Amino acid sequence: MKHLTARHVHVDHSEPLLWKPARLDHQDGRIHFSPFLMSIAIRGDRIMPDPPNDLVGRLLHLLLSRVTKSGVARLSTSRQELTVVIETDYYPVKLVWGDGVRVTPDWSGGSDITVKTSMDCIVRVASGQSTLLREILSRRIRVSGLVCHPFATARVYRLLSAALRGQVG
Amino acid sequence: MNIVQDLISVVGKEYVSDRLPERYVYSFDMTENEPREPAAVVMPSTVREVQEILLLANRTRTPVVPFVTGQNVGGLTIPQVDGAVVIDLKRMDRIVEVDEDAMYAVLEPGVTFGHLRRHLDQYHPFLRYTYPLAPPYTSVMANALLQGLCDLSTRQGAMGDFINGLEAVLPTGEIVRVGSGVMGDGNWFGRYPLPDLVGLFSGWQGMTGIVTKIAVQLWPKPRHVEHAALFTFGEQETTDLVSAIARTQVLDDADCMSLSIAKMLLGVAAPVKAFPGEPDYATLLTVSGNTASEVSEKMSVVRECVERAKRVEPRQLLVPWRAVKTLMGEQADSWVDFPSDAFKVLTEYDGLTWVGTYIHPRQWAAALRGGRAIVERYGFELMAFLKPMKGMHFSEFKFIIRFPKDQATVERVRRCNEEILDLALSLGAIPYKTPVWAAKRLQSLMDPGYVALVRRVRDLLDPNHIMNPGRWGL
Repeated sequence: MKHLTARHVHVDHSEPLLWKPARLDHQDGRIHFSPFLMSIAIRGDRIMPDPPNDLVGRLLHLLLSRVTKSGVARLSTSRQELTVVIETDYYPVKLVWGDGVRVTPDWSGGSDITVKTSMDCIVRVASGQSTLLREILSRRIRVSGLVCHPFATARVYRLLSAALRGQVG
Repeated sequence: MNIVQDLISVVGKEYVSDRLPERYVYSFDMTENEPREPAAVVMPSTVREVQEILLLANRTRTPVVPFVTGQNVGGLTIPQVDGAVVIDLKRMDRIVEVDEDAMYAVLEPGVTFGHLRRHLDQYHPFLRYTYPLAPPYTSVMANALLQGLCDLSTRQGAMGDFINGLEAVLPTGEIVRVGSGVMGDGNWFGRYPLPDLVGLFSGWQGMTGIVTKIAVQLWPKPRHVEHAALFTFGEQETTDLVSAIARTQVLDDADCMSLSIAKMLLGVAAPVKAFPGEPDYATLLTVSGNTASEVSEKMSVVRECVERAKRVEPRQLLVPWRAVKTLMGEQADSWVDFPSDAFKVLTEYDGLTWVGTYIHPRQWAAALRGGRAIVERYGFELMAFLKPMKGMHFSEFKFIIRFPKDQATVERVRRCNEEILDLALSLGAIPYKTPVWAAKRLQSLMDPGYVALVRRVRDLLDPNHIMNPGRWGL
């Protein structure tokens, strides 16, 4: 169940909550989950509905929302609780995985993974002039926490890479 | 009211009303300006009907106020005296002519930016007009006569400069033409070489007659258009950079706004506050050309300007449109494809106002800095809007306030606007789409000879002072 993406999953709010926790729809080939089961099954695979009011956080939230909708990348990580700080030259923002992914400009409290970069660098990747990997290799993006959380870092890398390449549906 | 029967005999009873609901609707606008009910509303559909209405008004000394869609910000269609008749011109909505050779359109007052855009796209796809930061249902003629902004202003100037000529009915009932159209229909190619009498109607806020047709310049639709977003820090640094880019003459247009406005477009709910570390301003830049490489070269000129500015403030950031769309989504296109409804975010509340001025480029940063301090002191959202005008021959700045119309807030808005205006006037700025209170302050500082000349011209054209009396404080 951990490997399901938004493409395969449909949360059916019309279904009774506990009577029918899940059903396979033979016509569209998708598994329909009740919202209750959904929240347990793919914990952390949705962006929280309350976006932040700062610029960088709002942009990140919009990007991740589109990723979630399109299903081209997964928000879920191998860890149930994860904190990623993206330190830009404007200010840092924090992504916290819990019941969902929350983006916040409040970066107090430390992080599991820290991505240090500049807005200029983010724009280069988002405009297709560079790639996330190239920016990391040239040390314009620095990632710490890789050793402690290699799988989570890889997942976050794939997520951000897809989002910044504009592969969001 | 006797005049109502006379008006009915001109336009029919369907198009005249002195009922309370209509009088109420025409008594106010979105601004903090004091409402006042007209005595009646009339909606003519032809030049002949306009002429008959004005002859009637002149004979009975009835004040009249021209009105199209009422989208102006400045109380410009609120009667300043009791007993006025509002002449709503929106039924006169014909696109009379589009001349592809001399690239102009002749329009009636009720033609909106949305109408014109649709008509051109459908029948003259190689031509474009220019559009303001206003809803698509705004009158083209009203915006041109009020000398407003548009999305070619950075290159071409205020919309008053787009007028080739016009037809008007004088308060005394004569129908006149000015511009090259004096030689007959199909000949509205320009204003020169003649005494430039467009100035008798442009900028007068409906005090000298009712314009029934206007010829406005069209432009070839560029084959290639590219946008970019510029995020900047600091008032001086921002105006320096935007000025530097505008002076290269590569831009079609630049819309510089407080970051709060960009955040509103991204869906941040009111009240929008600045966050520490965020850029202060976001600017939408537009360049165009006949080939992709021409556009690309123009963008590289812009990039050079930004790179130079980075030596002073490294965080100044130019964002290519592809990146804007990646970061912000497809919605970004609605911010640059005018006429756009995207800026309806400004009407979050029932109140919307601004003090907008044209100003010497040298004073641009001081006006922005001072205005920001005033707005912050009054606790309103930071909503500055700037535009380099006519290749940077002059600049525009305004502070927009959206507000709920409770009495206490309205009073606070008035005081804030007064302070901003006083600041602007002290810097030699001239307010546009001027509400009466602002025009009075402006006149107190102007060359008295100019004010006397304005009065003499008005008296000559409107001897009985029936046209929008009290407007501009005259």
